[in-house]
Amino acid sequence: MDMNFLKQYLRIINYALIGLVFAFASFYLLSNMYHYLEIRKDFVTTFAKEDLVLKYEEKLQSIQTNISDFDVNTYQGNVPASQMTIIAHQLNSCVASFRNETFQSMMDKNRITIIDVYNLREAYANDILGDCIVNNLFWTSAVDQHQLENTILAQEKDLIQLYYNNLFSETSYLKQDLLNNSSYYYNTAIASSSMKSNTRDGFYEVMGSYNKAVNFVEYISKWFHQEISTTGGALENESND
Amino acid sequence: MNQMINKIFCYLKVLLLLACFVFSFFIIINMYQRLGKNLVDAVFNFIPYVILFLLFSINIVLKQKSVNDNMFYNITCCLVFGMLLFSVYRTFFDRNMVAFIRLGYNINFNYFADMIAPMRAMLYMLSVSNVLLILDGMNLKFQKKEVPVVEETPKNKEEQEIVLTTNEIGI
Repeated sequence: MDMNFLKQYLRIINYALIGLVFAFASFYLLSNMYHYLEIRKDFVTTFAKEDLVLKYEEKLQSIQTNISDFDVNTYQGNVPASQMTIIAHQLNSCVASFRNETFQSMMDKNRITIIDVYNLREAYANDILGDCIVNNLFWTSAVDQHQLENTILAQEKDLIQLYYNNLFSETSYLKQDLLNNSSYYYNTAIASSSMKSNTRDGFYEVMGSYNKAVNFVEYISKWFHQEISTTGGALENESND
Repeated sequence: MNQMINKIFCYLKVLLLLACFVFSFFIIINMYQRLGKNLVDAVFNFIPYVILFLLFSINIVLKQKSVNDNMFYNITCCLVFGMLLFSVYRTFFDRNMVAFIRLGYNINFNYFADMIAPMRAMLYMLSVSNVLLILDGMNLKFQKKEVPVVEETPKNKEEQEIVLTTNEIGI
């Protein structure tokens, strides 16, 4: 039997195998390079001049103004003065949480990286949701008319609860998306990142969440301000109308 | 010129293999320690490296031309090791990956874990093709049994004549 016949087959199988390895290695190399370049894309913008950031700052300023009008010595509303003092303290604490270290460090930046977006999201989860919403203002979703003699918050507590739920799950998808950038797999996340810029879109998404949270705190601060300026009656009548 | 380039690739692949082994060893051992896994299990990740290193050594020591002169094989080896080194580089230095920041180990185990399976598969495939190339280069032959051909030859002149006459007649 001629050995060359077998050798020919062996050679075909062998070169097919080497070709397969060559194809695999090329694919992984190119896929990695693409992913490496993709996640390096920064969003070039002046953070402090972004519309969402400017609005955010305005709201924070508004909250501070609403709280600053409170004077415990002259207050004569329905809610006990001691309780109003606590609420004022809670709102102040919220403002400090909104102006957290991460957010302040972003103010000088002209270029936003994917890690900045991740840090902003972490600050949102820890400082804003954790410290402000859960620790300081969560009572607003469970106001009892007998506890706090004011009907507006008691009537809207279900809506407030819904809003809380919305705030809590607001950036969960973004978090998964950001964590997914550590895998170079050719999956839907990578495919989508070629169509959109993860950094830019993630930035707008997280700043949108910041704005939603600050809107809620401003709403509470407005109630607080009306409580002190109308001694408790005006807001209740408005809601009844 | 081709021979010179081939020689470069031939020795480069051994160097790259060693470099890949050292870095992979460091990363995988650290990963297993962090995860609290049994380090003995990590050995299975290095078996293809050892096999391939032994095969490369045999190729060079025995000067097997079927492997050493095969440019396609040498380039493929270098490509595989180059890809692995690139992923090692990203494991240590690509700080744009969120897991790198999130884990805080200065080594992105999350990323490298994805590379282990393809790494092992490709190293095993290179080992198999190396063995096949060695077999291809060997001068294997089946030994044929020589069967003696027996011819009946006429013994004397009388018999020869009889044979001739019968041939002429056509019997």
